Amino acid sequence: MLNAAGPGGLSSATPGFAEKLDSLGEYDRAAVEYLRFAYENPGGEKARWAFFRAGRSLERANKFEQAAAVYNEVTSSGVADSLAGAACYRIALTYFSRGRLNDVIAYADDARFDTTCADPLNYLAAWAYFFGRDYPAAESTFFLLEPESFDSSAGFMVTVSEKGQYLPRRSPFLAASMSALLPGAGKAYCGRWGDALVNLVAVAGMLGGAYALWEDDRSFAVGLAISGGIFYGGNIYGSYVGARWFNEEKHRELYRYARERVPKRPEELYDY
Amino acid sequence: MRLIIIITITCSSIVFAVDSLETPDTLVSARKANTLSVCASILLKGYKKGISNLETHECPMTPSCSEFALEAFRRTNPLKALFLAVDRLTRDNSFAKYYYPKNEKGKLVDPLDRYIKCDKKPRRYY
Repeated sequence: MLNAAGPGGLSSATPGFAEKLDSLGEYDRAAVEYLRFAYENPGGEKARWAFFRAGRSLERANKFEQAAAVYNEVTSSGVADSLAGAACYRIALTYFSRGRLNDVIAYADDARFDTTCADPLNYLAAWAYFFGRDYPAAESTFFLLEPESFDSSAGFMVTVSEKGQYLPRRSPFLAASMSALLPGAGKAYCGRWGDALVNLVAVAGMLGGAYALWEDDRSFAVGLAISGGIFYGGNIYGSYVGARWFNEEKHRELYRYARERVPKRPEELYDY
Repeated sequence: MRLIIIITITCSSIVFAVDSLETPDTLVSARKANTLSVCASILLKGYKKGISNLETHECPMTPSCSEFALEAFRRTNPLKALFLAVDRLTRDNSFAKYYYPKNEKGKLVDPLDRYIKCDKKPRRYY
């Protein structure tokens, strides 16, 4: 049976081995090897570097909570260098990845006097505002950064955030009310003219048919009226959710556009 | 005119009431809601096995309208599910190809999540 140090008593925990595992996509195992290296060589610069790399591997394995804990090992050593700044930034990024946008903003606010990572953290906080659809706050936070910083990303994002404030919106309430008045009108309001036409024909056909057949075939007319009523309700509710989806789609389109075009995405900073 | 306004307000109120209802699990009348959902699910499953299989024409959307309705009945309250299912039937038309993205099989993608989670922000940013 092999001992913990590996075959022949030699340490298997070399950064080179961990690097190889990381490059092969074995992120969990790579993180373990980095941590092993860090604990076998405690207290030095190499250990801090290994902790940082372990955090990166855990991030790649989508284990953000564990990654933040490992990055804390780098920042808690008391050394205020660029590696500590990078770890600080990556901790905030793990909050971002988990959708904890308020924590990102609070973290950036706490570190605003930290010269090693204040600007990147503000950049990330601005992205958090942007992702949270608070476009005015995003614009003003991006605006505080130098427009040329992060390969001109800040300047670009100011423009995109401004665009976000003028996204076309549709009121779900208005869409539902319009559809209640005239079946399909709410869909047309959201730009779905084809759906609007189908809705109008379906509801008008069924309710009109029920009205026309009321005297001749009462039971068939009642069936048609019930179906028409259900389609009428579906048309109103469909317009309501359609308007909500219209708004959501616009936000998502803008976010996709920003991520595709921005020169430096948040996760690309300090990506050692 | 007054009648039209009353109808509009009533219908809109119904829609918002439907939307504010919780899922069957958390409803006060959960048992009743579940019974309705189960009945609708049985009918839909019967349609899928007995009728849908015989048709040569497949639904151009994914999930198909019956699968969409089944999922709606499983995940939301029966009235909301009914409205969502009926709305889906009217959206499955010749114009749909202009509004929905296609997947690799050429089907138009229109998941239920769009309609029941569309105001919830995504949790992951990439």
